[in-house]
Amino acid sequence: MSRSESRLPLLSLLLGPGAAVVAALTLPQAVTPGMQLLVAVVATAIAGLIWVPNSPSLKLTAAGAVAAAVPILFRTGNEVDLAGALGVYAVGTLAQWALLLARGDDQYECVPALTRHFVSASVYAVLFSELLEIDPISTGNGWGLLLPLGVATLAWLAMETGMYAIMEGNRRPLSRRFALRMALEDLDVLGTLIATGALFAFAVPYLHWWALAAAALPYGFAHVAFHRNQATRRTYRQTIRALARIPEVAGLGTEGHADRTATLAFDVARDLGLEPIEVQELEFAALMHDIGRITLTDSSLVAVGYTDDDIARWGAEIIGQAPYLEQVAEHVRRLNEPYRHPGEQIDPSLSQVSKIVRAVSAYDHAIHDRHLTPLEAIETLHQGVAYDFDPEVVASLRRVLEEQGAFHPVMR
Amino acid sequence: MSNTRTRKAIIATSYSLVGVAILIAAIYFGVFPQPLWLWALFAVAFTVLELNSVEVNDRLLQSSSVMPALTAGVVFVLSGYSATLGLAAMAALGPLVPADIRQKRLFQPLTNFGQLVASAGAAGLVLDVMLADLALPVTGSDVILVVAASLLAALVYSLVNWQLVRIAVRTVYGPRQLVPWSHMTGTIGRLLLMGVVGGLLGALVVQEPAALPLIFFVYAIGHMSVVSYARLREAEEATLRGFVKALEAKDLYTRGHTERVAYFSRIIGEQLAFSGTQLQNLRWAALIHDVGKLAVPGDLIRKKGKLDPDEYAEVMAHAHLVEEILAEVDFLQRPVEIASGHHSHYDGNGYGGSGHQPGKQPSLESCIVAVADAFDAMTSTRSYRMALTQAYAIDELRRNSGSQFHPVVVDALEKALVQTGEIYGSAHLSDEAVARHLAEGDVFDVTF
Repeated sequence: MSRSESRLPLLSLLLGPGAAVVAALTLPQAVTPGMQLLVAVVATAIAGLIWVPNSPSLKLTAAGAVAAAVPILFRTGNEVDLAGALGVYAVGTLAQWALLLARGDDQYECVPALTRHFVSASVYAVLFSELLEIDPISTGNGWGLLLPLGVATLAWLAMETGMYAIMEGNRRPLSRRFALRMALEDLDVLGTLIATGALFAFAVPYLHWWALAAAALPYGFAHVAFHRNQATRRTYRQTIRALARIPEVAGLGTEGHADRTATLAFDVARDLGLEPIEVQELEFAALMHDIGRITLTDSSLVAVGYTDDDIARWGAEIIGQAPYLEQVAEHVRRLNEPYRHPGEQIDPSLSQVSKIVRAVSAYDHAIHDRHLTPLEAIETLHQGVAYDFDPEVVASLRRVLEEQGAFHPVMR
Repeated sequence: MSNTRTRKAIIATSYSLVGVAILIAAIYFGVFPQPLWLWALFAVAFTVLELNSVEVNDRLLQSSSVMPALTAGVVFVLSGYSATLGLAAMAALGPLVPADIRQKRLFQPLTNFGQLVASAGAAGLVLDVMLADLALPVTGSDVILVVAASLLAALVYSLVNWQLVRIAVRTVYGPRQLVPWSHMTGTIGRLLLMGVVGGLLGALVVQEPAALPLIFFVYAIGHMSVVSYARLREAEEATLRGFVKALEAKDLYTRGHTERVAYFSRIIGEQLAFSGTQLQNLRWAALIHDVGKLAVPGDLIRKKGKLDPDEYAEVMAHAHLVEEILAEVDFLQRPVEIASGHHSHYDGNGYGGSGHQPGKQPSLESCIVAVADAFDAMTSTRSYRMALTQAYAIDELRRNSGSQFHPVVVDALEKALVQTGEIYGSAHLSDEAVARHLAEGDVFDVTF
């Protein structure tokens, strides 16, 4: 973990004292019976141990579902026991923290997450409670709950993503826009948690203990589905890594070149603020940019001679066989094209992905094949900015390397 | 082809007649559910989910439509109407696929109509019978009854559905066309649990209609669950296709080889009564058995005449290179182990990676891929030899059975080929020396 990643957001340093103060202020005023408060806290703490798969950014746990149910359950008519709900959130958060600490989870991951969840869920509870008391909305039956619930849910989603973008944007080398887009990708998970929690609260008065089954089973389906989605992504990634290994296993490429190019290209993409989908394509393109080399096991072909363009074209042909990789194949096909020709403007159809992979791959070759120092290697790229390497990409690569301390004399 | 058309017509007619008969009977005996808008709401959910069914196994589509079906069924019965009629009428709309209508296809919609009406009607009947004495409010032990009835109804729904699909596919396309289904416990379990959730939501919504929006969210979750399964399966299939394509791009002579080895492995596995999941592992192993060759010089693979010891060692390496290449792909670990033993001999000789232990008998699956591989090698034309007859190939396998090949596997292949009536290889060429000689006279050279 690099230095910048280990920094905790300021807000999360306040989590412990903040939650304790909220608990001390609210709990004495709670009207919900103590037994129910205790059950809710215990449920929160236990559910907090279940990380929901496929929420890599927001780091959601099943406690979100419990938090969604609490204000609906702590209610008589249109009157929500807000003090009780907030008290449960505060004590529940502290209890979750204690359990996660005991289990040995990464504190740098879970403290910011707990902070976000605590604040966002509190906004949800307050908004739900306030909206329910406005007269035209409150019709006194179940239908009257829906609008406040909907609005409060939207507020929760907005708080969670907004806080993530700000907090992570501050402590990692991420643009806020990129962080926000990453958080938005996890909203299906959060939405599912809130919906199943609300369903539980709706079902309790009618189905009693069976309400647990009516809500836990759908949650289970969602949990498994998110897990499978994660496995699907992993399978594609593993497949691509396996394909990328072939030239190296066959002794046709520099050992580890594909992996190193992918890692460094990923950092450059984040620095340049590429869209998450482009970043994904970039990673795949970087891993497979040399796959065309597997055809070099044909001596007849080697005898005829080949160019880097041929390698790129053969590679694109192989990659293009997989229907989900057509775009990646296109990036690889145009890998060796100059970003501008003499006397012409910059070619707008050439993707950022192709340009980044080209520059980073050249940098890695300079380091590992020609044994240059990082400073010398980046210098060769600077020399090629007329046609071969986009100056924007080279400047970004230089920034990334500087941030990683590559030019520091101690490093080499 | 006209034969297939006749069989299609028979299935479509009989299925749709059954569907119509069930609908008429349900109308005669039951009262149509009220209010109509609630019925329509569930019918829309059912139809939308049914239209978005995804393939979870070979020619087996699944959707989460069992959820709205059972919610609706429970609501209908508890409100005093006929679940059989309500559900059968909902299911009658399900097969209205826009693409079918546009292209004026009849077989698919008619067959689906009959099969859906039959399964939904049967599930409705279970609810009608089991929940007949229940009255509102539903509490305590009543909920247990709802859960039990939903479980049974979901079971009936899926069993009727799948049996009818099986019969239709078998009749129209023949038994060979249906690849045995794998991981069926998971698929059935998912459907039953979805049924239980559907039933429970019915007991809730009949008492608290405001829960309806949340319930539709649950249907979406159910859909997501089925889709995620299909996507994962598709990702795995795409992975295998990717490697097979890469192999084909590299070596013209392997074109079709992997697919045929997969097919022979499958019919041997079926002969030996393998389960669907075992057959799947076997198929995957067969598809990747030559992936190691991607890292072996193409000239050696295609070389005519004998290899020198160095070259031979390099070609031998492909059996364990498959492990090196696919080591990180989680879902292929068992298939990789099988594949790395496909040059391992029954008596413990031969070579290979982790699937081969010198002196030990390789796994049955490895032996199957070995026999399938050898059989296809002999019955297809290679760079160094023309294709030989099937009889010669079987004799050769038999001669080496007990040493190189597993006797049980060789027997199984022979039996399976007799059963399918398929003949592979040359019609007359049954002399290895002549076959090699012919190939050497062959002047064309194949390059990438």
